[in-house]
Amino acid sequence: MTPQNKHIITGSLLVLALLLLAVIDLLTGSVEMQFGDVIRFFTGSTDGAEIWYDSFRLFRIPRVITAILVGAGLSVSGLLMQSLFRNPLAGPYILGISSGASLGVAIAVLGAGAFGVGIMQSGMSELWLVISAAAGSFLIMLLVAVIAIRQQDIMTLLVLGVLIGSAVSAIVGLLQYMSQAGELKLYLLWTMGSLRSVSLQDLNYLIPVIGIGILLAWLISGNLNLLLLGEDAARSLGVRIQLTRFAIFVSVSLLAGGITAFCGPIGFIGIAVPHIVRTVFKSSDHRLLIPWSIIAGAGIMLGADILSNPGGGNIILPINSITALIGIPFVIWLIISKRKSFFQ
Amino acid sequence: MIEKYSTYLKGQNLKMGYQHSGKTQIILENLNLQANASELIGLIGRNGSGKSTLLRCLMGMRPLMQGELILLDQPIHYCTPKQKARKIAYVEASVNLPGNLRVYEIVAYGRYPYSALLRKYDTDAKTKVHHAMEQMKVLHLADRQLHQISDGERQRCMIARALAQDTPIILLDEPAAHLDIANRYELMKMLRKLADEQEKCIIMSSHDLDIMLNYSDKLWLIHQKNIISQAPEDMVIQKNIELLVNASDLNFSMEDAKFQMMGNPRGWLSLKGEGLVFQWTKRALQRIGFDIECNKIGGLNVIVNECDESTEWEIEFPDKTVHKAFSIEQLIDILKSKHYERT
Amino acid sequence: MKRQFIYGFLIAFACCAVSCQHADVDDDTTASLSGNLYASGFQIKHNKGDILLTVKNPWQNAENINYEYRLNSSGKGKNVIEIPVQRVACMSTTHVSFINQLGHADKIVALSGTNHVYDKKLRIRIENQSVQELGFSENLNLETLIQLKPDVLFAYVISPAELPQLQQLEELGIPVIIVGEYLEQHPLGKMEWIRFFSYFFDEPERGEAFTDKIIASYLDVQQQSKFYDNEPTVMLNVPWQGVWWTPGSDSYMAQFIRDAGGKYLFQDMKGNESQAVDMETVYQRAKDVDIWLNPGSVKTRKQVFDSDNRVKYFENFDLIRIYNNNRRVGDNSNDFFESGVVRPDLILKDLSYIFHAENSHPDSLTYYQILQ
Repeated sequence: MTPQNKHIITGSLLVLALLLLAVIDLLTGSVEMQFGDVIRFFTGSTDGAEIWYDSFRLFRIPRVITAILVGAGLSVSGLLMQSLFRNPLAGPYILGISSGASLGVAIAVLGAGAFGVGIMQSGMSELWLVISAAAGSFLIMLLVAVIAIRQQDIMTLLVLGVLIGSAVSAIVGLLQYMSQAGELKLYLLWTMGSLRSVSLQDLNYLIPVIGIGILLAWLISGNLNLLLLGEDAARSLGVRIQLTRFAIFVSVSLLAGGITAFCGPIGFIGIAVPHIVRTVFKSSDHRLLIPWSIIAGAGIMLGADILSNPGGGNIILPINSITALIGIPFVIWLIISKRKSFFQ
Repeated sequence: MIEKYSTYLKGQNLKMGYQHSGKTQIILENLNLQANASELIGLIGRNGSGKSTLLRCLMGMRPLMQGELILLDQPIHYCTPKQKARKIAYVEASVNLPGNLRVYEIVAYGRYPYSALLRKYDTDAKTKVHHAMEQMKVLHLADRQLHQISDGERQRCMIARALAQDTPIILLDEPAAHLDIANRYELMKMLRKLADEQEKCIIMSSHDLDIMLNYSDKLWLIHQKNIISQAPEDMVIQKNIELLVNASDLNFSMEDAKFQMMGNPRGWLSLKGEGLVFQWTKRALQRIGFDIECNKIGGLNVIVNECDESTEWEIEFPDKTVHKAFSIEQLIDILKSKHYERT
Repeated sequence: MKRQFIYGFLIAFACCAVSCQHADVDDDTTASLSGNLYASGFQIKHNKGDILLTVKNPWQNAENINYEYRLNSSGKGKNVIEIPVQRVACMSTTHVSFINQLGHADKIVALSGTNHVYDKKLRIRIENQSVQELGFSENLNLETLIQLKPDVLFAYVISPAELPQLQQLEELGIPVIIVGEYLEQHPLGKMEWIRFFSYFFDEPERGEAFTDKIIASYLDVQQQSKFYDNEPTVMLNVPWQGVWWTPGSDSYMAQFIRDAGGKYLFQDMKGNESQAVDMETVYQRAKDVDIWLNPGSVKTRKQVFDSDNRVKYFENFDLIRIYNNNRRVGDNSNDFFESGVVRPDLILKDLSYIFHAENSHPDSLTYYQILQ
């Protein structure tokens, strides 16, 4: 069997698995639904009056699409960061994106305590929450970018991202200190991430943002491969390093920034999925890793979403806890059983 | 088909260095260089003299502070990154690579300068890659991952990649650093072949003087921020080779083609013999600190008697006692045991 | 005659002897208990001129934890607090409302969250520095406290981790009274803590009288609510991040809804705290909802929609009446959580109007206002 065929078969199987997970997730929820109902929805043979119709349309479809976008977006952005920094511990938030978003949201939600006026006072609308998060990430990314332009050494950027993250945590801590219990809980809930906060209307924004981010990553996948050889070797082969870095930057900002703005910071997926994909497919070729990461990431996120609402009952668990709990043991197992294959 | 160029590499009045927060450090200046087809050039110099800097500037990876560099009839600053990559390939000193990259992939990356955005590699990429792997004798390792092959094999892959890049000029930065003796000579043989048969211009830096003296067409010796460019033999004859070391305690022996410590505190002895065993006995005695005179008489004498089956060494001490040794080691033991202290 | 006198004397003597013996054996039998009607977090006992206040399990999940406070007008005795107190500090604005209601707000010298106080008179005192800011939970401004030397500090504890700081204060000579009113599930139980506070000001009758009055008023409204035919379905809170946090059926608000003759949408969800409910579930049930209460800190219907842009798809959304408990608010304060604690009868009245008297004048509501 040629490698080509092997890829095609594995790919098809994975996509099937993904569809299966998507269907299960679509059927998870507090309203009773059958598989047949799902078919009828998509074939248009419903009259819109069934009990499940509105729930499906308003809550489930957006949630499932969000899960797929989030899983794919975080995985690809994590992959980009790991390749750029050639560091297995890098993730989508390493340049400070989620710190920036946290800062924005903290000011909006907790600001009343510190500044006397917070957005909470005038009624926290979903729009403002998204804008605060996006503005926060954008500002931090701008700061990092300005410093990055003057830096040749990519490792400096890494350290910088971590330091900025710490600084922002300190500021957020201060805001928390000055806040009331009610607002604190709202902020805390935001940090736990949620796939349910996205409506169909929101998807009009999220889909293009994630789409462009992933497309950009795909376009530079050849350059990413060469980056793995080291910046010098890549340069000697004709890669424009600064341009590639810029493209990576923009892609990760769109992906991780967009996701965090709408769903809050969702951890772990961005770091783990690239590892899983690399180890399982035994490859460092980004032209393969990107599509695999998209599928694997989406699948895992759907799985996490299914688990966050066990049995479709009334209990809803925070998505961040689920992603951590299902992922960490799995990656530990993978790494132990395939020791040498990552960076020597 | 190999295109003809008037000069492969030409540098005029080059100046290169580093600029750090207002401070400028000049590594090389007023440099005039030329390198042509079918030349294997050895770049030698002390640690920190600027070998890597020079290679990187020639590569176009570092900017020149002054001067003009022309690669294959085109000034370097007119070249796009991909154009540069089609003229000149670079093999860096060993580096950490992801262990799960396959040999085939790495060599194939050498074709990147010929690829367009979405069409990944050009049509004859497969043949070129195949050929490169064949030349570097890594074809049988094509599907293996990096962490499964040895250092020498890995080095050969890197060079295969440079070959797949199909450039007239190849630069190598200490390519033999981690290779054992056998691999080093293999490497030089291949590079020689590339220069001779494919008319490539190869510039490599190395600390292995022996090999450089034997295999290079030209040596570039970095000295006092400039380069002395000569044939290796000329460099030895004109004693320029000694610029590599502190002249005070080392000199280059033209007979033995190596550096040796000056002053032999054990004193002198007279050595008689012929041929290779005589040569090697001389080396051993010099190593333990004797000054070898072939024409003086008296004092300590050592005679090498070579027969078909074995060799024996006869040692005649000043007090007229005679000892015999059947190996160099024994010879040394005897000499040392007679308490010839170093003065 | 002489014999009867001697017998009488002997009997009297015997009774005395018996009762004196009992007094030595068991304090409890002579100590009389002032019973609580609704509050379960405290207990009042009288014993030989002292008042013994016991606070039970003053934080979530506490078991068998009791704090005893001994009050006495002479101030004599070990660990006795002399009453009436002249200077008090509070860690919560609800404590303030109890003290305010008793007419002793002028005795407050320090408070946690001075910018969250609604009461106008108190605000004036805060502005001219007669009341100092105390800081919060584990980070109280100890220096301020020591300097002000209040007679007592009314504190509340959420977790035992906060105790060491309070113990430190005790060692520095400031008696700390742990108050557990926030754990009371019944609105009247919360209000009844005013009796607890009243002992500190040596005005127990005032506390009793007030309690009785409010209880009567509350029950009255509750009774009247029963006369209406309708039982509107009521929903609480707004979604956050796609999830609807809403209190259980044993909670404060749920109790109000029931007593005002309404039906809480999540009556079947047991428990005291807020739980995360899937928006789908709420959406399904929303078709029955008549009235929506407490939708976050908003003032218009549009702002309610903005919290999540799927809210507008709720069936009958246009018909649902929305009321919020932010009629009496300041920059950073809300009287619902301040005087509302001591006037649950007014809250209940508000709700009763909202539920049943459709033509109620907006002005007759105290804490609630309709959102347009």
